[in-house]
Amino acid sequence: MSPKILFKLCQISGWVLLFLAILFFISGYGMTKQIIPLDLATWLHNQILPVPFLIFLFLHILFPLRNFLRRFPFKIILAVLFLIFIVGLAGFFIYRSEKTSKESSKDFYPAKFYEALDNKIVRCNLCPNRCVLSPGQIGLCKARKNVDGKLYSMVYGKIASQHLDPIEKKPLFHFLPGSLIYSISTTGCNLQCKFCQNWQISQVFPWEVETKKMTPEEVVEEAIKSGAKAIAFTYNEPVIYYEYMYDIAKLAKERGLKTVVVSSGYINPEPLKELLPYIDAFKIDFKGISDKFYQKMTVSGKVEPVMEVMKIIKESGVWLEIVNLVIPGENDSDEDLKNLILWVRDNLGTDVPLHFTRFHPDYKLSNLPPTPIETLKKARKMAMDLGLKYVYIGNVDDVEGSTTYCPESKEPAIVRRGFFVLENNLDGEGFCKSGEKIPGIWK
Amino acid sequence: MKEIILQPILLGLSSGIFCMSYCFPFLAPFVVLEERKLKEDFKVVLKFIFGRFFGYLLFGAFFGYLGEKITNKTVDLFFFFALAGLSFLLILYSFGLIREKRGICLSPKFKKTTPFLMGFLMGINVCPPFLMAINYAFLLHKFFEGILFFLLFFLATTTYFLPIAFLGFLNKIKEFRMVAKISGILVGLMFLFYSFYRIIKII
Repeated sequence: MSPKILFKLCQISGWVLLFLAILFFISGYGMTKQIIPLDLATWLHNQILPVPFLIFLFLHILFPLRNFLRRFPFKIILAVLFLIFIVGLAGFFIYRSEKTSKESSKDFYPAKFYEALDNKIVRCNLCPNRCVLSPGQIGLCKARKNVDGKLYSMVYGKIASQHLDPIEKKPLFHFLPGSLIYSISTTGCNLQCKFCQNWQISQVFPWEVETKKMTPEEVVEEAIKSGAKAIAFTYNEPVIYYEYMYDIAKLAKERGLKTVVVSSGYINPEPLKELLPYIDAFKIDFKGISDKFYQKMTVSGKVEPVMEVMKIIKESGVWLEIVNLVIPGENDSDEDLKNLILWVRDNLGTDVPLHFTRFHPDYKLSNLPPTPIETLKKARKMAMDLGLKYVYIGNVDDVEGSTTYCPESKEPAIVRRGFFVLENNLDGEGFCKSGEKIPGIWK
Repeated sequence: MKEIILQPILLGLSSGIFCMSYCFPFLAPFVVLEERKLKEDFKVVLKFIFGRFFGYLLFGAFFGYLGEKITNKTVDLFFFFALAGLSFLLILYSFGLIREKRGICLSPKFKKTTPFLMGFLMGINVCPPFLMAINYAFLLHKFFEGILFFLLFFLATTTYFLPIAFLGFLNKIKEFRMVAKISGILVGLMFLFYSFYRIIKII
């Protein structure tokens, strides 16, 4: 190759490298100081710029490398290093390939609730998606896989996130107020909502993020050590790690801990009924009142199965609270809000707490504005006028909208600000000073 | 549609360096083994890239549509037979048995198409980023979207392959040509034995 070409290449790539380095610095600075949109800065810094940077660096060093090689007296040594590098790389890939093939089936856990069809095809019956999977295929949830005609959970024992949260963050307002709850999640989700706030873990395969391996025993042990009174299955959709959640919940009950499921309620009745004896409270995301909304905002959702799930939970006596994320222009019309409130009142009763929470632009709906606080206040008022006793607004700093009132005397029972309890005027059994009983789990 | 376009490009860009390093043990000896001009080195790399392109297209269609009907075992067998073929080709080339003038039982044109064939076999072969792309294609369940996904994934990973042609300056040095021959044979033998081991294990 002509040294002229290499020299020119070295020159040009040097200037390009300088330009890329400046861009790399700006996008990095942009990520921390938010001088440019965070998504754009992260995308540039982590995904786009490293590629040309590496390529131009390679082109830049060719000319000095050539000169070095020409003058180096022991070319054979460098040639042998080249040989070692190539053969070593080949050996490394064989080792990796072998390791991956062994790990792929060893790491999975047998799944429940599926039926075997012909030709090693299986149908997963855990959620209403009822994915039909050929060998090797993965469900919509990115968490369950058909391996040679048997369904496995790919996320069992793989914790993607764990925190000690205030219970009010779930949000659960009638369940051990002011306490801390040990919260865990894996990866994956069966609804894939466009407004997902935890998409970094819920919309990925388990190998795409760092996970920590923990047995159910270790999770319960850790929860007890943390001083929490309960374990929450939250952040991503717990239904998709059903087997793991079931084993932990069963063990937690034996060790005297309470259990909470924070879910979209997209699960079939059979697995739900099997789980209910080990769960103390459910928080269900009732995303919208219509199929149209579920179809537009989720991967393949329908509203009917979610309604069915809430009815089953209510009938079972397990504590239930409902959250409706109010999204501007999507589910915030008076008609939608009224229909949702009426459905809750007529099917679940007036005692079920209903939280209207504020939408923040995220994931695939980063183009929408946050919900106006007035819309949330309007929804709360509408629900209370229609007879619901415990209606809250969330994701906003509003003491009144976060306070539990005794329904008859209108005295404040629990006053909250954000995730924190400022005042708790209830006795240990959930009675107001006026003698009214507020439903919930208080100890 | 955004997922079908942006996702494979980002996947290709972020995992392309891994793709390139997987192909590197096959492609580098090939580029360094014979003394050529820069233009010819580029031709070799481009032929290899086109081979990969057809390999990806074939598998995009295969997994996007037929993916629902094939078993893991069939796919694995196919992968390792392709790997064995690729390794065998590299060994033949490194031994100098594929020549333009007096090739053994092979047409002179065969030498010119060898990089394409190697690229094709590489393209349909299993490597971790490729497996990741398959997982996504599996979720699509659609023929044309499968092809589009693999096509864009291919284009993004190709960014890393073109600079390999510049390695050609090493083929001007006698010692490197000799070492490239040895490494071609060693790499070929390693992958050949590995693919036989996996084929026997599968059967």
